[in-house]
Amino acid sequence: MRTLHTIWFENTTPFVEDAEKWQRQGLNFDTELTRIKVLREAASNAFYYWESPRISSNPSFRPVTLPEETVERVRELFPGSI
Amino acid sequence: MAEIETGSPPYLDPIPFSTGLLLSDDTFRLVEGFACNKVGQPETPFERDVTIWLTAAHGDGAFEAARLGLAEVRLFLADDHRVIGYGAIGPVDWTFGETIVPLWLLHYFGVHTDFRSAKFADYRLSYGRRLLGGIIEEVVRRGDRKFIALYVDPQNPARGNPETNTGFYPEFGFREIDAEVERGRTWVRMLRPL
Repeated sequence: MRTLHTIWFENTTPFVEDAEKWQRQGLNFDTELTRIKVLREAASNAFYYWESPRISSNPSFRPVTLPEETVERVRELFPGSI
Repeated sequence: MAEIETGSPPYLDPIPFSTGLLLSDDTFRLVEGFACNKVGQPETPFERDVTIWLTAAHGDGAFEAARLGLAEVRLFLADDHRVIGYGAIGPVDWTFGETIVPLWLLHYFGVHTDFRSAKFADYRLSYGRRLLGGIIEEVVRRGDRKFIALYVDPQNPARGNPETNTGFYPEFGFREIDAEVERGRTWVRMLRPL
């Protein structure tokens, strides 16, 4: 979800920049720019309130990055395993 | 039998994980009424976790995890087709510093109330030990990952004693590595090399 949100924002940014540039040259992109602004706000709101699906009460389905002290403990417990 | 750190094997006559029925649209009806509290005793919070996860019909339980391919959930049946218990494992990647390590996660594991009180001449023949033994042997046999991990409620007796490495999970070679708080609840993370 986070990645999708980032990609969408990155994909709309160049168009917004180009449209604003051409707007300064006298072309009218008011409708398109307004629509993009509305959609970006809607996407940001959706992202802000989004929660990852809760498939379990325990965290076993979550991505895990172990803290350094835990990595050290694993090395002590199971030498040569990582 | 998988090599373990403790002297005597913690289980006998393992129930092969591959003999369990996969949880699916066709088998979900079998889990109706599943419970895993001890006979005559109130359900503990961690027993409730195991029951709720298996029986949840939509969204946040075993069926959904299996449907999404996140977990392999297998039901083990007695000759009369009653559910003895179940186990759920899945592949995950954990990041150890700069290294990504593929491992198996034992998401859930439980024995039905009707089979928890069964008496055996040797305690290592209990259904819980036979089922977990079968799971351990299966992931060892698959041979593609370095560890099996699990999360356990700190109040769950299966956690055992981390100082003496005694108790249910420690006897199977699991060791505590740290704890994680999930939505205000603490979970002990345990790891076992394969």
